Amino acid sequence: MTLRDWFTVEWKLSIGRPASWVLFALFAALLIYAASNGKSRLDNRLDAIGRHQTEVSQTMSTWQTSLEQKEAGGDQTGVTPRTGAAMDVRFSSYLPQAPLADFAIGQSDILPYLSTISLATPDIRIFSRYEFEDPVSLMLGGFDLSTAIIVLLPLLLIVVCFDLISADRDANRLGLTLSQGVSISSLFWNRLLLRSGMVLLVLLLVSALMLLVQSSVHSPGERVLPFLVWTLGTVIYAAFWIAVIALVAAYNRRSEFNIMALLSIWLAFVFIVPSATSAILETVYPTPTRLSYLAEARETENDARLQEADIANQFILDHPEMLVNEVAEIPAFLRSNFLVNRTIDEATRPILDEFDAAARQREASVGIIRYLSPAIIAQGLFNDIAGNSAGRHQRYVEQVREFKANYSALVGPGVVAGQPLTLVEFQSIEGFSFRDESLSEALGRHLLPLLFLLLLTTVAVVIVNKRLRTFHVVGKQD
Amino acid sequence: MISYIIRKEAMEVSRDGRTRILAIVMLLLGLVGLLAGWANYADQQRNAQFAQADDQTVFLDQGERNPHSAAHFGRMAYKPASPLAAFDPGAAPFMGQVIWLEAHQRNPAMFRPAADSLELGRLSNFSVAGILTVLLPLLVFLLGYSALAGERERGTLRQTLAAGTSTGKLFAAKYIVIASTGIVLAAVTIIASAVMALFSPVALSATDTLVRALGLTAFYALYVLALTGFALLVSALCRQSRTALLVLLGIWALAVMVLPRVGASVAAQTFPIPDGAQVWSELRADIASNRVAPDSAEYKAAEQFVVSRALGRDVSLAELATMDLNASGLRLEVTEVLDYAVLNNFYADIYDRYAGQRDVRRWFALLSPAIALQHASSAFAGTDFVAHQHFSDVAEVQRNNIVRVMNEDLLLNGAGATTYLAGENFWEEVPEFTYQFPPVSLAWRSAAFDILLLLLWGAIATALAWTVTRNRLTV
Repeated sequence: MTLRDWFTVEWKLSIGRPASWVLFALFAALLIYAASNGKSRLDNRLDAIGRHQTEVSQTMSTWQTSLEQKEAGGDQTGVTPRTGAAMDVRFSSYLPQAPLADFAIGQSDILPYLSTISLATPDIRIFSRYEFEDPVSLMLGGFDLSTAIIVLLPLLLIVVCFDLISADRDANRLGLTLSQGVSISSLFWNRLLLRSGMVLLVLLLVSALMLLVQSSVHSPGERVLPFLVWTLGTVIYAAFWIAVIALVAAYNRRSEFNIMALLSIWLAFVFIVPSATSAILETVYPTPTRLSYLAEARETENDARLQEADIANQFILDHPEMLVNEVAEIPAFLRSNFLVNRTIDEATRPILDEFDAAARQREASVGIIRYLSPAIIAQGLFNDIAGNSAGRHQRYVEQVREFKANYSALVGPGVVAGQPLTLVEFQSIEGFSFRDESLSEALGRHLLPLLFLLLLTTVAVVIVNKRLRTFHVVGKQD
Repeated sequence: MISYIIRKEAMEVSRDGRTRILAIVMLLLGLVGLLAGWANYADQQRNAQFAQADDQTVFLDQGERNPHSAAHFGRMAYKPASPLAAFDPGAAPFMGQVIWLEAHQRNPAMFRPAADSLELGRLSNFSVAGILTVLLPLLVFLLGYSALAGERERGTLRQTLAAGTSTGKLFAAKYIVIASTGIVLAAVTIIASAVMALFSPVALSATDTLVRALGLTAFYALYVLALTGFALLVSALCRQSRTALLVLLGIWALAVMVLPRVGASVAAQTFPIPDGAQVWSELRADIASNRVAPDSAEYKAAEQFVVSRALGRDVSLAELATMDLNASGLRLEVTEVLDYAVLNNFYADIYDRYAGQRDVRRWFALLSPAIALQHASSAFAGTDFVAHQHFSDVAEVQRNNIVRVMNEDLLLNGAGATTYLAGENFWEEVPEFTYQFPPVSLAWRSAAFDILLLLLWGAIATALAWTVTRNRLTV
C-alpha cells in the first residue's frame, strides 16, 4: 500500500470522521485563543513599558530644564535648592520583550519587568510596590501556546492514537485486517504517523499562522529563528509522546488498558513529577525569607539614621576628594537619605546574595531533575525562547541593582558633599540597558535535554519495532 | 436488597487494581502535599511572628525623632498564614505577605512567595486541594465509566434486572459506592488537615476550624456527587465502556485542566488590573485632583475636624484661628484625612476588579465544577482574595491610626518648634498591630454563589444520570 492508500483508509476510519474534526477544530480554537491571550499579555506589558518610559522621561525633562536654567543664570523660575540633585535623577529600566514573547507567558506575570531606578529608593523597594495583579488569576496561570503544547498536545495525541491496533483487536478484526496483505509493522507505523501527523499539522499550522498574524515590535525576520527553535522543541516533545504511545500500543492490550496506561504516564509526567519535584526542591533548598530581608533592612535603616554622623564621616574618609568643594548647595536631608539608603543596600546585600545563591542552587537542581519529565524540559525551553523565564527576570533584577550601585558610586561623593550634578556630568551618564544572552546561549542549556528526549524516543522506537517483529495476533490474551 | 447490591459493587471496586492504585497514589500525594504545605505554612508563620516582633523592637528603638519622619519609616503589618493553608493555599502564594504602613500612601502587600518559587511549580498545583481537584474526577470516572456501559457490554445488566433488581436500586447502589469512595478519600485528607490546623501556632477557634472543615468536606462531597452523576450519565448513554471512558476523560481534561486556565485568562482580559506603575501614576493624579485649596471651606472643615479629634472636644473655626498649633502637623493630618477616601476608593476599585474576575470565572464554573470548588475551597481555607482584602483593610485602619498618632503629636506638641523631635518613649504610645482572622461567616458570604453552583452541579448531574439510566434501562 502506498502512503496515499494508507491516508485514504485512515481518513475513512479515523481522521476523516466528524468526531475527529470536532476534536481538531477544538484544538485549533484553543491554540488560537492561547496565542492571542499570550499576545494580549504581551501588549499589556509593552503598554506598561511605554507609559513607564514616558513618565520617567517627563520627570527627567523637568529636572534637566531646571538644571539648564540654573547653569544658564538669568531667570531662576523653577530653580529650587534641589535643582541638579543626583538623588532626584530617575532612570527608566525595563526587560526588553523577546521576539516570541507572545508564545509563552512564563514568569512574566509574576516577576518584575520594569522599574524606576533612583538613589532615593533602597533596593528593597525597587520592585515591591507593583504587586496588584489578581492573585487568583496568577494562581490559575495564563493559558498560552506553551501551556497548550505541554498539557494538551500529549492528551490529544493519546486520544487520537491510543487504539492504533487495539480497536481492531477488541473488535476481533485485526486478523482480517492483516489478511489483506499488510504487515503489522506497516499498519502500526503508518496509522501512528498519519494520526499524530494530523495533530502536529494542526498545531504547526496554527502556530505559524499566529506568528504571522500577531504583530510585534520585532520584525518577522527576528521572529523566524526563535520560532524555528520553538518548532524544533515542539516536534521533539511530540515525538517523545508519539513514541510513548507506540510503546504502550505495541503491547497489544485492550484499548481501555492503553488509554489508562497512557493517561497515567501523562499524569505522572505533566502533573505529578513537575509539582512534586518543585515542592521537594523548595523544601530541600528553601529560599531565605523575604521577611527577614525586610526586617534586616528596617533595623539597618534605624541604625543608620541614629549613626548618620558616623556613617557620613566614614564615607568622607573613603572619599577625601569631595572635601575639595566644601560649599554645600543641595539640602542636607538628601545627603541623609543617600547615606541611609546606601547603608541599607550594603547591609542587605548579603541577604540578596543568599537569595541569588539559593535560586542558582535550585536552578542547578532543576537542570538535573528536568530529565525526569519531558514537560519540565519543554517548559524550560519555551520560557527561555519566549524570554519569560525566571532566570531572565532574575538577570534583569540583578542588572538593575548593579546599575544603581554603579550610579551610586559615581555620584555618591557629590551627594554627600551637597553638590549638584552638572549638565555635562548628567549627559555623560548612560541609561540602563539590559544585557541579554543570545539565543544560542539559551538553546545551549536545552540541547542536552532535547537530545535526551530524542534518545528516549529512539530507544522506544527500537523496542516497538522489536515487539512488532514478534507480534502474534491469534491467541494473544490479556 | 439494596445493601446486597451495595456490597457487591463495593467488592468490585475494592478488587479493581486500578482503583486501588489510584486511591493509594492519591493518598500518598495528599500526604506529601499536606506535609509540604504544613512545612511551608509553619515556616511562613514562624517568619511572620519573628518579623512582627522584630519590627516592634526596631520601632521602639527609634530614639528621639520627628514624628512625621517616623510615620514615613512606618510599621509593617505581617500577614499571618491561615492554618488551613496547608490544605488549600489557594491564591495565598500569589499575594504579598506584608504591608508597609506609612504616611501618605496605602501600599499593596509585597513579597509574593510564588515569586521565589520554581517556575516548574506553575505547571500544576501540588496542594492537597489541588491534588483532590484534579485526581478525584479521574478516580470517580475510572470507577464509573463501565458501571452501566460495561455491564451492558457483558450482558450482566439484563441478567441483574431480570433477577428482580429495580433500576432505582441498581442506580442508587452504584451511585452510593462510587460517590462514597471519593468522599471518604476527600474527607480523610480534610480531617487530617483540620487536626493539624487545630494545633497550629495561630489556631482559629475550634468551632471555626470545625465549621470550615465541615464546609470543605461538604463542598468536596458535592463535587464528587456531580462527578459521579456525570460518570453514570455517560456510562448510561454510551453503548461501549471504551467510548464512555474516552468521553469522560475528554470532559476531565477540559473541565479540570483547560477551562480553569481559560476562564482565568478571559477574566483577566474582561476586568484588567492596571500594572503597578500605572496604578501609582493614576493614584497620584486622583489624589492631586482631590486636594482642595487651603482657603476653601472644605479644607477649613477638615482642619476643624482634625483639631477637634486631636483634642477630644469640639473646636470652632474661630477658636481654631487663634490656636497655637504646629502648621506642618496640621497640614499633614488634614491631607491624610482628605486622601483617605481617595486611597480607599482606589483599592475598592482594584478589589471590585478582582470580584469582577471572579464573576467571570463563575460563568465558566457553569461548564466546570472544578472552578466553583476552587473558589469555595480557598474561601473556607481562608486563602482567597476576600480574606486578603480583610487583612488589607484592617492594616489600613492601623496605618491611619499610626499616622494620626504621629501627626497629632507633631500638631499639639510641636508648636513653635522649627525641628520638633518626639521623645524616645513616645513610640510606645503607638498601638501594636494585631490581626484576628475573619470569622467563617465571611467565607460563607464570599463563596455562597459557588456553593450554590456546586449544589446545582450535584443535583443536575445526578438527576440527569438517573433520568437517562431509568429510560435506557427500562427500554
